[in-house]
Amino acid sequence: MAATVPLKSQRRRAAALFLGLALALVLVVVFAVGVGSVSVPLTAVVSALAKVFHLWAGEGADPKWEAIILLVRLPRVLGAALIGAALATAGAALQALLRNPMADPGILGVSGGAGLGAVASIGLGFAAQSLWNTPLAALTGALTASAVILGLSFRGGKLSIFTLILAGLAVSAFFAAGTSLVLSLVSRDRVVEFIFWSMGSLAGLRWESIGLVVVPLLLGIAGLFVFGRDLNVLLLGDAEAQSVGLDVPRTRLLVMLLVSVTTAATVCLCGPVGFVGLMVPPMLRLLIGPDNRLLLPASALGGAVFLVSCDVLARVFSATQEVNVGIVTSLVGAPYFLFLLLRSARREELF
Amino acid sequence: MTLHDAWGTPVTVDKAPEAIVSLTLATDEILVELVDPKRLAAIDSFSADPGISNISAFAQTFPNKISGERETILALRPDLVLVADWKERDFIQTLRDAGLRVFVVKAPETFAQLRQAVTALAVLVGEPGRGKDLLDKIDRRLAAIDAKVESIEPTQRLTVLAYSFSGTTLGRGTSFDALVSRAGLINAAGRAGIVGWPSISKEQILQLDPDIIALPSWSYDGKNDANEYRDRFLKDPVFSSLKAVKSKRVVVFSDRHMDSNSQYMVDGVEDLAGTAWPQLFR
Amino acid sequence: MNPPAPLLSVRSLACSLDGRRVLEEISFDLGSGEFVGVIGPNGAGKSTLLHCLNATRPSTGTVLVNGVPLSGLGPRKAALALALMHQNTLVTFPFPAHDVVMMGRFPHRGRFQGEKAQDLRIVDDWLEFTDAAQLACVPITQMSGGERQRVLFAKTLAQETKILLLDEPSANLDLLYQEQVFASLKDLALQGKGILAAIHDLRMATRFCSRLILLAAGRILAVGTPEEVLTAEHLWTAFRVRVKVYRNPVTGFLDYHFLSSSDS
Repeated sequence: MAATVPLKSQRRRAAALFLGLALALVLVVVFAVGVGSVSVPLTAVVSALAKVFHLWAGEGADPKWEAIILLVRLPRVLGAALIGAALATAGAALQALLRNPMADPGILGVSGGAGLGAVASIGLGFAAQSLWNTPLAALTGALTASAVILGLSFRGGKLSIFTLILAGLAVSAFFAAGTSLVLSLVSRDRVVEFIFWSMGSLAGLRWESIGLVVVPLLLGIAGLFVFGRDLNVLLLGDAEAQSVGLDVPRTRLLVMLLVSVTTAATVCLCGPVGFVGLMVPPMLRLLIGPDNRLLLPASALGGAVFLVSCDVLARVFSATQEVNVGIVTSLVGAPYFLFLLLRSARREELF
Repeated sequence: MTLHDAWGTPVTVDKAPEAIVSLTLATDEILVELVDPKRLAAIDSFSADPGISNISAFAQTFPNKISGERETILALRPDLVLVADWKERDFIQTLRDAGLRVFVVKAPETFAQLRQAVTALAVLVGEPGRGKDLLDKIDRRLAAIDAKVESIEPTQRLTVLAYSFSGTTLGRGTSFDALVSRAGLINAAGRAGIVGWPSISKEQILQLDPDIIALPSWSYDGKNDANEYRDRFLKDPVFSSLKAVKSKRVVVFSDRHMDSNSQYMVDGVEDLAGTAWPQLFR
Repeated sequence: MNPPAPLLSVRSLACSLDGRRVLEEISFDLGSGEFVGVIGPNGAGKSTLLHCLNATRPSTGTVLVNGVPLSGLGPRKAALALALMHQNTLVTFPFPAHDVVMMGRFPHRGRFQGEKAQDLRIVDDWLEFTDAAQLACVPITQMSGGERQRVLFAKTLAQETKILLLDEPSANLDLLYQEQVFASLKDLALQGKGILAAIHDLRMATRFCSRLILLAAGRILAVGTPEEVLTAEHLWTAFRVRVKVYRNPVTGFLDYHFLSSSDS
């Protein structure tokens, strides 16, 4: 008889994990806000944070420290937490939907579409006119690409996963070619500007940009949480899911839409950041099991912790030149992806 | 006193700033002539590189050299920040959100733009007198050059072509173009209709066959050796028929002068004219 | 007194797969208290029939569930009326048995409703019924084929529908559990459910089912009591075997014996 874990202690383990993740998030946020290219005294960090979160009615710290913490670091760190949560939740949902632990929201062609939108905005000079232009153009491109891919993959109400992946590849290639074409026609400055955007960066993230997408992101994340039970049932197989009363095509479509919109909103904020959705959910799945009602919220917390940590690494990597956070997540994520591939090939197990 | 910066944003100065952060080499070089170094909170890190900066001696002893990093600037709490017009919008907006006075500057590419920039900066820092002195100096030197250049016959005006380490040239609309015409020369690339700084092929160079070829002295990553590049150019069989090669007029010009966007543009004109007509200018 | 309306009423059901007709002119009724066995050779369309009744395969014709057309019911309402246990469900995710059975309660709960005490009790009861209570916390991926089958059976039962459809319910089970499953199904039928099962083993079908439907090449060859359906002629037509059908003196049920060419 295999080892059994009584239900009660499973529940206790899940609760402990959530508590641990929440605590880790708070700690890593405070740490991230305290760290930067300029040494800010710890007392200033604490009093600035306390003031912002209305925990303390004191007069706060020296205005120059406050400016650094509240205008440069805090929006960036909270933005990283929000984006990390969104990408991890979207990744977990997508992996359940496709029954494959190697699915990353990037396969939906979102980053290719966003890239074309961004390069059009930068190349045509719209980027210089307003801060909103490039994010909005990226969002439009991302949603267009997703719409095309989903439209191709949903035939007669059924989602063909094979078609989805191939359509994703084809559409991404098309958009990438379009992007290269635009890049070959614009001036060198613009090329550099675009390349910086495309590496995925949280540098200079401002409260206003976050304000633009915070509502869609939170709604997207919450929406995916709501589908937790449905995703569990889907994991039994399409036929089984249909048998217990799940409207499989409709659920697939709705979850895909939520994943696309959530991912598109993150790309518009910071460019494409990969591997968060790929790495965080499988790691948590090992600790918390396959129950998506627990896994999705845990992934949100875990994703936030992960991206904030990657961002700290990106910032302190080099004293003078910041490394884009997308590079850090790729450096960590790509080897992990290869490891997953090898392990699943060897064990013939999907999870 | 309200001035409009390069983006058209009105910037008001009521008191002469005492902690100025200058983020471009051009503004560094101009400010050194306008204000007491004590009033400079930080200057751009390129100003210490002798290959590109005309104030490297000063900059090497100046403590605060930065490269446009938000937190560092905020920690200095400056009362005036001078920023290039190609810097990201959100960077500038963050500084403004923190209450800093930010003035966006477009690097001067022509002498008219240089005069405008010097005037505006002098007003901003509360030194109109020193600004006028600097402008007078520039005008006097330019007048001396103009006088000599006028005496050259139009048919004797030589052509010059810029050629960089990465195979690009400088056409119309660049500061090089402005220097060339002030020096009484003709920009071969500009005359051929080239605008900006695109790549130029060896065939195009052969076709244009300029009298002088201007090579750079400095590169951003410090990897290129100007003399070695010049030797390669001279030994290249494709170029052996060029006038400039035969008459030994493939010249490495100092980028400190040629790439300058400040008052040292005048030195660039002098360098060019001196190479073309040594009998007039030495 | 009129007989009660059938739980399931099928008229002229037809199904095509890739342009091929796999089911043709299928008509029958399933009443409360009946345990009907669908028998026939491989490829006859037994599984396909069950999937059509569950709306997982598209079909033409009429299927009435409690007098209401199946096509008019959404997936959830359909799942409250009939439950289908598939053959060879492969679950690759380590859900514990308890969670798997709880998924059978899915159609009973609204989107934002949690698990009620009642649901927990139902899950425990059905796990007991299928003799899988001790597997409640074991991940389904670590179970043997038979254990998994029993858990999935419990899940199907936890759906608490009047109509049960089963595709080869005894497929991976040991002899002991085979008997138990069929005995349970007969009990459940007696309690009022209508049960339709695709059965491979003709002897089991004969012993436990009140009626049989013999399918061959997508059509109903015979419908009726085991005596009516299990004849040498029918078995020859459907299975291409020469048998002698007789009443087994030990069991009291119908049995058959293969005739080789040497037998008369």
